[in-house]
Amino acid sequence: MTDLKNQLINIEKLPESIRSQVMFINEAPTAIAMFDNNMRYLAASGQWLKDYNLLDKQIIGKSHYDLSPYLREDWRKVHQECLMGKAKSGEEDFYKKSDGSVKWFKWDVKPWYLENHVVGGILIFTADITPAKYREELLFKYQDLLERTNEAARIGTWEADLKQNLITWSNVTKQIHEVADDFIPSFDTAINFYKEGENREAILKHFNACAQHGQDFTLELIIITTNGVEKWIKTTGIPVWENDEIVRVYGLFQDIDERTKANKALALQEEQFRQTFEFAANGMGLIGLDGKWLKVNQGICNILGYTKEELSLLTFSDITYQDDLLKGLEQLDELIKGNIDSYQVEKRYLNKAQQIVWVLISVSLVKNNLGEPSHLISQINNITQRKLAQFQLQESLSKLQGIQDASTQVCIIEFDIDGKIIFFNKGAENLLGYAAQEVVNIENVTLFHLKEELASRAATLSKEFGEEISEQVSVFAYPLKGLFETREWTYVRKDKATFPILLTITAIKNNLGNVNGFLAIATDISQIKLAEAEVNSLLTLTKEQNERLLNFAHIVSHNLRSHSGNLSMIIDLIKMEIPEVTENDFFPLLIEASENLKETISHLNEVVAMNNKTNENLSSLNLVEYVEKGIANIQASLVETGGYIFNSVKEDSYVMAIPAYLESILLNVLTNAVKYRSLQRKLCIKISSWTEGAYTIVAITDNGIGIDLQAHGSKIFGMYKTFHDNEDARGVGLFITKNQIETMGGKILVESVLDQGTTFKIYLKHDQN
Amino acid sequence: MTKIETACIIDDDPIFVFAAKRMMLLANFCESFLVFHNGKKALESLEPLMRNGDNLPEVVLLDLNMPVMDGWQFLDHFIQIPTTKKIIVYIVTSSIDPEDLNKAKSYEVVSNYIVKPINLDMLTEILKDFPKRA
Repeated sequence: MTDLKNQLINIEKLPESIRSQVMFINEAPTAIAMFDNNMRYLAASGQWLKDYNLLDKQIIGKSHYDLSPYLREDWRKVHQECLMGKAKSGEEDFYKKSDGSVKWFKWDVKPWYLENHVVGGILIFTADITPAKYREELLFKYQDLLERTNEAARIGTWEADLKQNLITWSNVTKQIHEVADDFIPSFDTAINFYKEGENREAILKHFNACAQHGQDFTLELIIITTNGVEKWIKTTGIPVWENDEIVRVYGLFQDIDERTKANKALALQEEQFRQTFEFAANGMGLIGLDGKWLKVNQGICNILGYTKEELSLLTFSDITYQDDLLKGLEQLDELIKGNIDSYQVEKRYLNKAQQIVWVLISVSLVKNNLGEPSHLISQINNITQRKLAQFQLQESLSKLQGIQDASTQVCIIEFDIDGKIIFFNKGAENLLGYAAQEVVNIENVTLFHLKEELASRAATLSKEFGEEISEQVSVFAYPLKGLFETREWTYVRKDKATFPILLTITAIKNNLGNVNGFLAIATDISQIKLAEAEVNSLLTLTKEQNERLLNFAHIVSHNLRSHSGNLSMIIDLIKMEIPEVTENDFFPLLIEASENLKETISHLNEVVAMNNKTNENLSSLNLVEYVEKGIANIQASLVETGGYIFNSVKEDSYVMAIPAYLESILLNVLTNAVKYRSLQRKLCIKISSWTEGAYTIVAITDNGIGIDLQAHGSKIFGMYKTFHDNEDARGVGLFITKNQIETMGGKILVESVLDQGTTFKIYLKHDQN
Repeated sequence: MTKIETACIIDDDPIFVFAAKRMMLLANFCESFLVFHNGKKALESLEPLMRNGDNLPEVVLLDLNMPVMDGWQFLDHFIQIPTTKKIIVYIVTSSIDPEDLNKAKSYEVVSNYIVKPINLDMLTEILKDFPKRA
């Protein structure tokens, strides 16, 4: 063996079979080399020479180790083992080329034998697997990338092996189910993660369809994780066929919970916006930057009277009132420039009927996702009613101002709660001599009041209210307590002249009912005061005259009485001392004259006496009692004439009267009824009573001859008037009756029809208690 | 019947005084008369008489309305004068004023209030009444 090793194998001397092999190797398309037992080249294929960079080298007979000095030690060992008769191979191996690149190959080493079964050397095959190896690496890289991508996108995978009934989940799939990494799912556990009901039914149906009929599926369903969390997932299923049979189903498994929820929330928001937009009570519209309506709601249509279709053809300016076209344009510009977020403007629109509609518009800008202005959202409120109310208020205010200005003779002054003047009208300027701008917001109420008057009023009020009232507050004390007050005061003009005024002060209340100011209305009452003084002096004069008259009446009646008394005494004496004179025809006339004089004086006295009575003498008297007394007095005449009386005066009627007067009045009227009875019929007197306000009325009605009121009405209660030819007529009676009634604060009225009867109505004050 | 010695008439009306005197004569009213035309004159004469107690009138007919000193002023002085003899005063006046009547009642010395004119019957009544008061 040893000598064989050291001796070069001569190819020519090799047997024919080996030589043909050497020939074959030289022409082989793969990398193959043949070595003798000393690792010297016997033959090498073109591919080998190419693979190992030996093309231009003479290799036959040269040692493999000499030509490839850096051959790895383990390979040398393989060579030696094979020279000992072993065969070896390697599936994947590599070596670094001189240029540093790595070469992947698989190899096969076998011994070859001489005729005597002696190992003649070895054959080495190598196959370059570098491209395959490269593809394999690339695939691995891609798979790794896919796995990482899936993980990042929370996309997992699953696989169901239908033959072995095995379910496999990727890590992400497990994470989505919130199970541990070592969890091993079964078919049942996998299905049971789906929410019971339509979700579970759907996955079962589609999985079965996929496993049995090969139908792909993509489903979005809800699972309930191990932790009990409901989650939206997306799962796909793809069948795998082998020999016309479905052996596996695999697919993706993705967590779409957040996305789904976000989508659903967005949809809800959009729906809410649509609802708000469509059914908002006020108008809402989307407007393009060109001023065209993009979308309007029913509210706008209601405000403007156009349909949505009509509005879509109109621009902003078409419906804006001419004078308001420029309103808000500046703000719109600022809004589009992004300087402001929104703006509000009040303007007038014209509705379809070309009537003015006042609106309050709020405009805000919508930007697209690039931050550029996209369109405008406009909210439109109809404020026509409010505007009209505002105009009405303005009108009222200007009317009020007009009234205040027009009142040139009435002071209208407004004070704040502290008494400061805040309004001063023309009348105030005229009467007080100050100009409004001199006093408004400068002076207070004490400016034109007399200091002494304020002081005395303050003292009175302090006593009345039991608290200290300052001079200034004294003017407002009553209004402050919620009352209005009218009093006479003295005002002082700018030129210090004073004049009396009648001042009414009212509190001005705010909407909470708190007093926050006062309105003073003062009228100059100088003229009234003068007239009052005149009336007073006239009254005094009249009183004096009355007293003088009374005095005069006293004297007259007294003196007349004296003379008349003397006259009757003389006549008496004549009768006694010169009885023959009584025979004279003149004497009875003298007696009659004397008697008449006496009676006249007596009446005169009654009248004079009455004027001294006053109301203070009145007492509460029972009317029935006095009526009955009167009736009793005329009872004799009644019986004589066959007359009768109906008395219906109420028992509980009381009147305020002087007893003697009441008696005299009733007797006088009743006597008249008897005196002036009709001779054609039986006398009938009716007496009744009732109350009217402060009076109790006694009505005495007879059926007598009556009085011609047309002829005598104005004289009936005059002194010494008689209306009948009746001998007993004493005209003074009704005069006295009337005066007595009036002295007691009452009155008497008469109604009469000639030859039918007369009614006297006597009004007397009744007892208020 | 007790006869009145002296009656005094104080009145400024001469006709009344004349008529009254005649009637009193006719009625046999008194023995003699004292007549004064006002209160002052009456006081001047009556006061010394009263102080002496001589020839005093038993009855005085006093008018109210008189010049110089009226009936009331006379009464006020008259009641101040101390006297031993009782004098009966009748007010005889034309006044029917109730105030006068009430005032007259306030004087104890005044016996009655007679409204003019007077006649024989009235004098007879006074005469009848006289002894009860004297």
